[in-house]
Amino acid sequence: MKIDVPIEQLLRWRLARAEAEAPAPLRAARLLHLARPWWELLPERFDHLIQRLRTIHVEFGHAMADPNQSPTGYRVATLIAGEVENVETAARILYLSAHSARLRMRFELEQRNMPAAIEVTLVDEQTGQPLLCASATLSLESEYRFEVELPPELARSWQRLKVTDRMPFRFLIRAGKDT
Amino acid sequence: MDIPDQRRIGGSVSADAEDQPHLLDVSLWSDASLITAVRRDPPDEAALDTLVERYWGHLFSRCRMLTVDTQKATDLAQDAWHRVLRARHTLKPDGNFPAYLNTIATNLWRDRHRSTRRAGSLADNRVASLDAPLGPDGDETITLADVVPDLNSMDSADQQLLAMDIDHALQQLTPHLREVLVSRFIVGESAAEIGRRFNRTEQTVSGWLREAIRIMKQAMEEPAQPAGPPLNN
Repeated sequence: MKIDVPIEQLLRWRLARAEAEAPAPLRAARLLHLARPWWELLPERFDHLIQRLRTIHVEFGHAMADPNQSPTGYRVATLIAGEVENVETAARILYLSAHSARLRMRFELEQRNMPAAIEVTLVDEQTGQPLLCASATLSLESEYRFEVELPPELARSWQRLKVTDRMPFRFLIRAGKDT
Repeated sequence: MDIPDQRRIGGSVSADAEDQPHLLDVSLWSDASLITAVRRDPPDEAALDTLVERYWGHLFSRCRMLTVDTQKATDLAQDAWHRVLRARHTLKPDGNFPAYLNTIATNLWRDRHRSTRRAGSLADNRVASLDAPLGPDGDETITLADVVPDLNSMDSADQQLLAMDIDHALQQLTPHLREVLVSRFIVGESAAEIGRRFNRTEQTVSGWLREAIRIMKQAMEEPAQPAGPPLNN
């Protein structure tokens, strides 16, 4: 016998079955541990990388200086933390939007041959304090993109930030097993 | 102790109980009380355990529908919790916590597949063709053999097979189409509401839904001729 089953009924039935088969959740202590940002889990490593990152000097070229150029932003000092060695480089911000408490960004790394997925930590340009961390993926246009929720204080202070502004952060990039 | 739903989920415990939480089993606390305890420094682990257990199954099942994979669903659900806990000071005790949790998981899922969607088969230039009617009257049913109207009354082996068939059909969808399907039929959002979230028109979302249903129907009604290899899970 064949019957017509509404797709909504099928999906809700599958959903209920999945809920019944859910594995046990992690305990609070474990969740809280894993939720800590990597710089708290690896403070010595972070301090070492920050010291190196803060020594990087890049030439800042204003985005709109040449009207014939595409509207790309300032170069951002970047340190790529590798498993074997760390690489100093720069990133150029191609797009930035900090509306609705979400940061959307596209950027291009001057360092080539990077993996398709990297972890970007934004570090305060002035203080060297970590601001936030996001996973960025490489697009077909060889640009990295990410979108991440902004902490309330950054959402307020960055809501007028434009791609043509000098960026108030540096990039610390991790790509490898320890990400 | 029988606790009414409005008290167990999102409701409020009496003022006396709030003043003396040690007198109550933490599992009986309202979401608001639990969230307040989780916001503290250091967070109350018993409250967090209760909150996690209260919504874990709900969150996992939603993630399972999106990922069609138990391990990936577990990872996604845990990542959603990590995200929530990293911003725990900003949690709103009076907000709709389970909806917030699901939104976080869905956003994570979308972020991970953003590039897939951008380069996928549903670019805007294909939308016009998707506007063509799928079938008579926008048919939203799937014709199945060897099932009964009450799916839960089937024997366990048949239920297992049906679950596998549904999973197979979901796997034929792009992550984006799967999310749209879940938003429409599980969350209950309208095409217009989904469209606002994706910054697309209601017509575009209707096209996405028609395409998703067409693929599901093809996969479940004609299992000998699958729609194609599984797309990016």
